[in-house]
Amino acid sequence: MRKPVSILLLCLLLLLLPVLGSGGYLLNIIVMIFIFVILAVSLDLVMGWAGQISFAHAAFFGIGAYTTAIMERDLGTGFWVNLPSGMVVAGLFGLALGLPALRLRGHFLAIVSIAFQTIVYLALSQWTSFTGGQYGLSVEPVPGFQRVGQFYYLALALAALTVVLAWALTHSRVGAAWQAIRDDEVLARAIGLHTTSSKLLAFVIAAALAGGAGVLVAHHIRGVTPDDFTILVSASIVAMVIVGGQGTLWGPLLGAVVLTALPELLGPLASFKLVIFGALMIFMIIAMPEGVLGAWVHRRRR
Amino acid sequence: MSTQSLLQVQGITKHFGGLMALDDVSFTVAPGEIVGLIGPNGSGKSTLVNILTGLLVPSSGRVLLDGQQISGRPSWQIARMGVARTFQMLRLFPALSVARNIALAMQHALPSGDLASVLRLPSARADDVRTREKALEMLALFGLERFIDQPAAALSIGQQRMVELARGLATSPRVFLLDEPAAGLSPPNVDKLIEVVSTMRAQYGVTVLLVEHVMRVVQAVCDRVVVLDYGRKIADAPPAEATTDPRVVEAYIGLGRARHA
Repeated sequence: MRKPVSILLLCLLLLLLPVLGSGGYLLNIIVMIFIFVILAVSLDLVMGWAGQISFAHAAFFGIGAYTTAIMERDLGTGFWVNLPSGMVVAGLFGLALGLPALRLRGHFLAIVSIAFQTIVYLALSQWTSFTGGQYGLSVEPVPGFQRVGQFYYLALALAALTVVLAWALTHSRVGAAWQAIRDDEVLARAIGLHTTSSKLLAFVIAAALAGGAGVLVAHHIRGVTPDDFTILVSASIVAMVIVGGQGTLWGPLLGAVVLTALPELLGPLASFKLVIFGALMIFMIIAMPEGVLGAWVHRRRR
Repeated sequence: MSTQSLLQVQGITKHFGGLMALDDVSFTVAPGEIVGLIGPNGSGKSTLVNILTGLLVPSSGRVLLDGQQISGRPSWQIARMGVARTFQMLRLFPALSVARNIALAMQHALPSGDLASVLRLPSARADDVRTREKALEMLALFGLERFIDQPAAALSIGQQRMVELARGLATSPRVFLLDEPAAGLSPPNVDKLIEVVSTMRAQYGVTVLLVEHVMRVVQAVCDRVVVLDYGRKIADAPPAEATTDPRVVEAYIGLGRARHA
């Protein structure tokens, strides 16, 4: 009984936060947390549930962000057209990468995803005539959501939708097939599961959600630059999933909250953010491979 | 001929580089029949099992199921066409519940699609209820109903073998391929296995291809045995006859060793 009550209280707090007169600084951080919740929860579908490693999540994030920036510049379309467009474009890139890459496993898949991430970064930073190069592109705020206190609700709604979607997927036959592939792919095939299409589905959905997060971030920071979508961002999302607990849904959510807020709390130490993330990830893989939430659930069951 | 046999293995040859693992092996299995596939270690049994289940592609020859070619197809397609299997090394998803292990094998045949399942439509829920009932019915055959919500890893090896059988049986397979089901079982469990395989045919009319080392099992349940030695079929006869065949005796005892030397 206590769990629903505390969740309800948390929801109420999240809804009231901007009204309670929290400063713009705090709200801006929380919007970034919502965006990284979308990224971590979607990557967990690929990593934690379907068991496939990907270091390309920031590439799909960037593809979504640049889709909205370029569409706004060239077509004059706004957020509500660009959001589904960014998701579709990122999803199609996910399909194009996943079709050949998902034949590979483990380290090989990781290497291919790193290559893809690098190619996307190079295209964003070097194709100046189309992407604006290192200077990036500016993006207009979303009408009706110009103030951070308003944009907050947009980001909250999309993060909540992502979590609901991820919950529905993982608690369905689709999620069951993902777990089967993760645990024993040969057996999964032997009992009649079409493992290639299952893995591809996870990959495409995750890429599309990351693309949606990209559209959101572009309108939040009102611009895009290639350096917002580097492999270090991909590695940070992987760290959120691993630290929180792969395949637990709430774990990556927790990981996104903690690892997005952490650099803000570190003050001057924030420039060592990636060192700390790296150390944390190594510690977690050795000491708590199931992540914080995984270990906690495990202990409670005993 | 083709109307009488459900599974037709036709001239299967498989070589790995210069090594001939299977050499022109042919046999058939009739509907409702229990056929044993035996042979000393390295005789090509596992290679044949891997070809029948789509893990390997034969160098030449083909396998037909009810007239349709299955050799060369991927294993998920072969499973969907009605060939269920168990594994020599015992294979379940250890972290998943027994119910989930069985349900996953039935998943591809459900009328409601994956989208219906994600959206929790009534049609998908109804299918899930039926799946669970079927799993329960299968587990009841082995007296394992109470383990339905346990993770598979919590069961003993003998019980896990039975779950593997329940998993295959739940899909109402046209051919059930049992790959050394007695391996690692204690003698009382071997008795249970014999009883269960016989029940499977009596109650569900399942056609079985049984790969087995334990002769007691083969003698007790098989109508016919196919004997392989060095990749060749050396006998195809009822168990009593096959086990007294001089070539089979030679393959299994002393004389065979002289050829290695």
